[in-house]
Amino acid sequence: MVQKKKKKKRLDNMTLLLIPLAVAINMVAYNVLYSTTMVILGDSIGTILVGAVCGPFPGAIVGILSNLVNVIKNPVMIVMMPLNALFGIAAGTLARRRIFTSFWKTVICTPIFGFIGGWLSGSIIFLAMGGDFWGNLASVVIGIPLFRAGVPKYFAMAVGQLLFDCIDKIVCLILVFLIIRSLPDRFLIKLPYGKYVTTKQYREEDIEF
Amino acid sequence: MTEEQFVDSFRKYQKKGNWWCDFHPVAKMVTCLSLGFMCLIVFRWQVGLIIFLLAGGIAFLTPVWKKYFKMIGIMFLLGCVFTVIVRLYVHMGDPGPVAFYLFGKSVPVAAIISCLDLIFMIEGFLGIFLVFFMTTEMRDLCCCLEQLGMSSTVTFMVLSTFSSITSIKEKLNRVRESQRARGIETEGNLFVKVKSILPVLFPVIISSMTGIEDKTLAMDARAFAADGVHTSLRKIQPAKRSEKTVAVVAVIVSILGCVAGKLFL
Repeated sequence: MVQKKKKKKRLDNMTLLLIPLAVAINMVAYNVLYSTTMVILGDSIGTILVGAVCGPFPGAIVGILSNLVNVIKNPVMIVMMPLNALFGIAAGTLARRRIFTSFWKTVICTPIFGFIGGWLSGSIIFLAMGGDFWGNLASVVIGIPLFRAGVPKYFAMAVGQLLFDCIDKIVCLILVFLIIRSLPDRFLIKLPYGKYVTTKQYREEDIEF
Repeated sequence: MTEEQFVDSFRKYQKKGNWWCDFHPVAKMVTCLSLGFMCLIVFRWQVGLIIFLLAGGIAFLTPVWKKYFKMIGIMFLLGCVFTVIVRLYVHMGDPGPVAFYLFGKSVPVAAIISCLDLIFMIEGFLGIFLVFFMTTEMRDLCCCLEQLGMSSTVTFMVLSTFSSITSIKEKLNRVRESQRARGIETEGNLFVKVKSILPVLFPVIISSMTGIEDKTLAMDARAFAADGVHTSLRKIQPAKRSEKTVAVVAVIVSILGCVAGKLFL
């Protein structure tokens, strides 16, 4: 019983330290990826990663904290807070179903994250901006041309956002998968959801914390 | 600073010698948050402009004014100009009173007002938040919040986030330099830059994550999870009556401003 309690505390501390690190990863990945590609944001890598290895709740906290930090740079991010939290929850839920153990399973999940990050975020911005386009690349490249072609404004915006976000999320998911595969198993199994993302079989009593 | 002066600096309240920088962090946060949200909720250029000017005025009276105006200027150019172009492009040729003609097409007055609303919403919100973050030390804010009853775990996460961002950025630069020394090109055209992303990003993320184990041990050694009230090295002066009044007035003004703005603007 004493041993069990001690184990729980240790795991909590690791999660507690991973959360700020994941927020920092989100920021650094955004700076590196977006400044180079202008299409891939990469600002949800840390959220999905922590969601996958620590569970939905820590993932949601990372999402909320990331958005709070990003508010300093872009105030519109404050309305996106629930969505970034949803990334963490979705990643945790999928990890429990052992999605992150296979490359193809991970890639197939792209539309789920694309829908959250593209369609839902687009809808929120659409409402927050008084039913108008936001000045981002998805609007300029896809949304506005579709609108000019006669597609209703909301659908034109949502389709543009969805397509652009799917590109971003597929890269993020592949990177998260590669990061998980690169992490040593002895590290992963100490994390709350580590057993769901590693292919190695082990007995709980064999692990020394 | 001698060792004695350094030790003495923690025996008294932390002061910077500027009225706004020395304003109680929580009172300052409440003031800035309420004004910022008023800007966001009302979404009219008149309100945004007032908050933006107020933030500029406050920033001008602090030592960070140069940095503030440089940053707000960059944000204005990058974010708002792009948004204005998109909005004008979308609304070009729409019916309604014409403001001017662009490339032979009419730009309605409504489009200009919509642009102004968006610009000053962003600038007002951003301005007041920048003033807050540039003049407040996070450790002081977290210390005050902890005194008010916030969990030490939450304040640790917030503080740790800011320190992690700084350390991971330093690590990124170090890894970039190391990879360059190993012959991986990190500067050049787009293709070269894209190719260099993985060799730079991966070591940073993996090494930071695996380093967590050592930090966990260090936290346990310092009894982080032990029950009891956490101690703090820095002392923050309790909020004065005037500071509390400013915060309360800001909240009342914001609520009234939101109602009035939605009804009359």
